[in-house]
Amino acid sequence: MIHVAKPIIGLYNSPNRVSVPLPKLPVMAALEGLVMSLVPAVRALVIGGGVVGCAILYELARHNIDALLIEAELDLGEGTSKANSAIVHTGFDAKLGTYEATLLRRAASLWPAVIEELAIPFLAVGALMLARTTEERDRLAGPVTANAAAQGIETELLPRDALRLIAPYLADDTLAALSVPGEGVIDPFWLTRAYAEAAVAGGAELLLGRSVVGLDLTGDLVIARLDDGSEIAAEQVFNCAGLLSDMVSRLGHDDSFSITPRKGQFLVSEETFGVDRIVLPLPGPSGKGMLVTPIVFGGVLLGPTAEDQAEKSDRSVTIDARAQILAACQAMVPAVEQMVPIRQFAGVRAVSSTGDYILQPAKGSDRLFHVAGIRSTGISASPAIAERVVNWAMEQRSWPASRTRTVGVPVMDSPSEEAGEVVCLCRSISESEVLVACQRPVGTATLDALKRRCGVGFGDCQGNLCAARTAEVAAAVWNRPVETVLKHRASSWLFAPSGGTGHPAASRADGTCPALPELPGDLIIVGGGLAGIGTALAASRGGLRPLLVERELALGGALRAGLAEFGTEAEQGALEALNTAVDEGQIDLWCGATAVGLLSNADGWRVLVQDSKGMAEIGANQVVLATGGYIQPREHLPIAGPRGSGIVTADFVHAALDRGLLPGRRVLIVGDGRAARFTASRLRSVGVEVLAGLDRQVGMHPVDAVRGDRRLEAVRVNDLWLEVDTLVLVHRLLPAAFLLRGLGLVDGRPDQPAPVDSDGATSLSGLWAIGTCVRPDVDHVGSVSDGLALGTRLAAQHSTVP
Amino acid sequence: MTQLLADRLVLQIPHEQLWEILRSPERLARVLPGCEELHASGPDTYEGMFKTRVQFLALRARATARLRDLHPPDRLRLELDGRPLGLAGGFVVSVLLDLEEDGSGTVVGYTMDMEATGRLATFGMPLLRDVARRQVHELAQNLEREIDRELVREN
Repeated sequence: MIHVAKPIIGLYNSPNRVSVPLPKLPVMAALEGLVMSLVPAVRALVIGGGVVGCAILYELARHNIDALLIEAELDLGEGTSKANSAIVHTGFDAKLGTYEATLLRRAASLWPAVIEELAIPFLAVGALMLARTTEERDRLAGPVTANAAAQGIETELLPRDALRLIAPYLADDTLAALSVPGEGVIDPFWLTRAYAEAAVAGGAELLLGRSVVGLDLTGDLVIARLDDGSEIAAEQVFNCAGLLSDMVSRLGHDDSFSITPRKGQFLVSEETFGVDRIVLPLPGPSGKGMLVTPIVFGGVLLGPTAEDQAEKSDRSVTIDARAQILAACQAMVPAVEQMVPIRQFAGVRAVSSTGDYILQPAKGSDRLFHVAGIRSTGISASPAIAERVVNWAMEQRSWPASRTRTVGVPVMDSPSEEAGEVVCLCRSISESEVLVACQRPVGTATLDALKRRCGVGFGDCQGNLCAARTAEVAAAVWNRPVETVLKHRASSWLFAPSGGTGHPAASRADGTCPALPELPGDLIIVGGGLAGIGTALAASRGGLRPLLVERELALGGALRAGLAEFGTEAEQGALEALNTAVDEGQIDLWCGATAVGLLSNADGWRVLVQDSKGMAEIGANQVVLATGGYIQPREHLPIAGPRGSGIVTADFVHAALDRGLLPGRRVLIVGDGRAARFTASRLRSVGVEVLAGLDRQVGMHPVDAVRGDRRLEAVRVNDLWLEVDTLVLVHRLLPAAFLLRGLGLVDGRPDQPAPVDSDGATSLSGLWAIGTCVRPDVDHVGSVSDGLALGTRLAAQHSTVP
Repeated sequence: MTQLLADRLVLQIPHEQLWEILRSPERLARVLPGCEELHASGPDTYEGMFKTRVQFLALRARATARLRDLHPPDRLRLELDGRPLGLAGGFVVSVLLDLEEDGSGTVVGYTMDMEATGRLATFGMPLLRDVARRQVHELAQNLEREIDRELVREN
């Protein structure tokens, strides 16, 4: 019997599947009496929920074949399918005569329909394979072009002058490039999920969080035993277990192939420096080399490395690889030197012992079919692999031929009329989008799964500003205590249980929206931290009537909960005076609201402000950005090791504590200023064990490695491993200048402060910036006085205007 | 603003007729891609509801359309100031159209600039550019269909 053993494990489509009678198949008739009383059965069982397994499930659904997919992880595509270059290859450089080349070619003709039917984010950007020596140019013009031509793939050799026009970002020493216009980029998460969602819409079923631990191939039905002791019978089993496909093969007593893991590390940069197509080198003796490729939703991907390793589950990142990737990519695109990666991740490709895809029945029984060794072209070839494999099974099993159905997924409608509060600041993702992601047909069970569905947590802060709120929203939808929300895998907890029955998923309280003026106001200040408080106070004293918009429910910025203990007299006095001015109607205050856009026209500025009830558009003659900053997250830093939960910034810690959630039990804090002392004090006050804060050394981060691929287990400092379950970074602030990106005042790099002159003026009339979004300082020293000075200037300026 | 597109297209529509379509709210509503409703709210200003597909997302937006810089019958600027439903933020699209007679048809030179804020801005310019290309293609088809429709009515 199939159990849904934990709330996070899901059987999608038919929760009561065990009560569904067996299909009346000829092959099963003899066994029906026996099997029916013991195990549920399906025609097709797919082991592995990566892109290939999901593509096969989709193809089976299109043929109206009763099918079930089993995936060991809590989400689909948690293996190789989530960490790759996301390219849809034409196969122009694939070795002729291989399965890989044949199926890539076939897939090219299937892609347009797949992209349309499944509504997948895709960009046909094209690729440039570079030649930097005359020998390389000859290879491009000769064998590489011939290989592509033999497969009917369009290419064109572009000389240096032509390249200058279309790709000015390439290095000066680029002699020529082979243009391959058919290459494209896709959202790999979307593709895998769309295959599965379409299959489920067509009647297929999914079981997540369960592993197959035994296969009995001796009868006319394969009996698959699961890790919870239950069994499933199937006429045909497809082994799509990726890196573990050789192990699944051995469950069926077939040791005809082996899979070795090859790690590929990548870097992500939000700033593209104009790179608008896939840029790659000629393959060398050590492999295909590293590339620079656009990401569908913006930014570029750099990498991958190619590191053969022993451990299949090792997805840790290394500092050396970071340097290698940057060097290799900079050689092709010099601007890479200026890039500031916001993320480093690793994927592990499945390299087969045969050197090609393995698409074959198991030794001893064709009821187990291997779909293995799909090294690095699984996304690209997936439609053709699925077509071939399912056609084989249809014939072999004599399944009734039915016309191939269209079982696309409906294009997602706008979530709702109202966006709701903005949950993710970096990407302006609102609560309604998170709610929709929580309710997708193939359910989400983890924070990473949500990230891959709606983008929450993908931005510059890497989720540190929004993870607590996202978990709270998700827990409410899933009707679970917030403490049970995981990052990605079992045991990757985000919040330590605090005893009792767990923290309820509370809704955030409403903000304090004042009566908004219909006519443009004097001044809007975005951000109610120390600089915003100072600006509002001084402007008000000088006769202006400012509107102060603050994202949080309380003023004070990052130090809001600690000003009484850690604030200076001036800061405490300013906050008190501001509250009085608000009470007396001299300053309008809107807490719980996020500014999501700045638009300018002849009448001045319009600020788009979103809160839980809707969006308002407020006109103003002057706008001051006092948007502060966020702590630099681990993903920006060269820290080696896996990427489990528990490596967070103080932003996450305070968001958790604000909600009564414990971000850890035993914590090491990196940072030595008052923000670090405040964070340590707050954690200790709720019983968290805090190790002494680590001093920040100039130019050097004290932590260089971490351990723990689910939850953090230890960090390395000066070659010494310290056992902690949480690492809290309070070492460096980055400016939150997201609103200025749309105006072109800063680019996509995370360390770009708001550019202002000595008076705080930007280059755009009426737009100012002040505080830590201009001068990032993790301790916010000087923010109040800077704000007071700007507010005074603005008021004086206003009074002199006739 | 960021330039999304700058290109030209040839329409088998007489120059003057094309201008008439662009100046008629009723006909503009039929040709603007995804336009669900459009009504005049002032001189050369219209309020409307638009639906578009950003590959994976069917997006609806309330928008104000304004015709500016009118130089009949050769040049105009169409500005769309929109707020997507269900997403935080907004957009302003400005399309400058230059119409030039070309035999029995018209060559339309166009530049499309966009300022996206909030969630739309995070979709990335390449994706938005792709959407814009599709919209231009659809607009061209709609315009020619509008002329066909007119011919049918006249006959």
